[in-house]
Amino acid sequence: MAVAKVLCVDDALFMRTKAARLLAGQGYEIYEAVNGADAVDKYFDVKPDVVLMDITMPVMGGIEAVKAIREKDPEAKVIMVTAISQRSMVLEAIRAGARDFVIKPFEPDKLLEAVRKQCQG
Amino acid sequence: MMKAGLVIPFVESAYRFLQEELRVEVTRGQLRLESSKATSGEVNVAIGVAGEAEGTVLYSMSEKTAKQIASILIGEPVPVFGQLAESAIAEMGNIITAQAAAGLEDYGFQCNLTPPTVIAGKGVVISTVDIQRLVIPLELSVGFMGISVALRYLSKK
Repeated sequence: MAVAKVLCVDDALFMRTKAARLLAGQGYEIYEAVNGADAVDKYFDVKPDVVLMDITMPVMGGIEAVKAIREKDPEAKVIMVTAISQRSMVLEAIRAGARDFVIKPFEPDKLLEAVRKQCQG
Repeated sequence: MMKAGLVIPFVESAYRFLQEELRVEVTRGQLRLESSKATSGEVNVAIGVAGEAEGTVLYSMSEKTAKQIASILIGEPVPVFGQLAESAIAEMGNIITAQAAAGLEDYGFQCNLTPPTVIAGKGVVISTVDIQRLVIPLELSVGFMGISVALRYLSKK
């Protein structure tokens, strides 16, 4: 049985693959979305325990997607996983409802710890 | 007008990524300012920058170098420069530029980035139109990579 369901949202195939391989190896059930709009659709289909969300994506960005998900599910657990460490973006993501932040390129242990923390919380 | 000092965040960010993530040796060549069209490498990543600094940042390299970098990032051999390798190279450009953008914020320039675009092929010529490019040549233990920073900065009062 899977440890928990994780939705990996990133327009970059490489980042989705990297996160998916890491988490699947730890027993998580992985779902993928390629942009914010795809993430919103898949979130309500799959009902993941945790969402890993990139910020800069085409069609719909990560911050907008967090707002859309949290509007319908205020308990959604979203971790921003992004290369953007600009203070303004960090603050905007937190205001939008993100619960944690992992900066790319992520260290495997840090990502796993962030996911574990949300699964327990 | 290109401000040479503001290229520092790009140099620092590139060194950090290349040394810490790829674990390759990096030697920087002489910075140069260019106005002509860039004769690019076989694999190029372009990232658009908008806001208080605007323009384009380009990462250019040979396909052989791109495959070697992708191989390190993915953690397995990359015999063909396919979709996953392309995505890995694009993400390298994205991460270096995003971290440099965070550095620019420290200088007082807030900017946003576009998702990366990969332009691959021999003999590709890329123009940054009327924005001069500051070229950062980097000799890596896996090959050569050039970073062209073509940005103009909104003057600060």
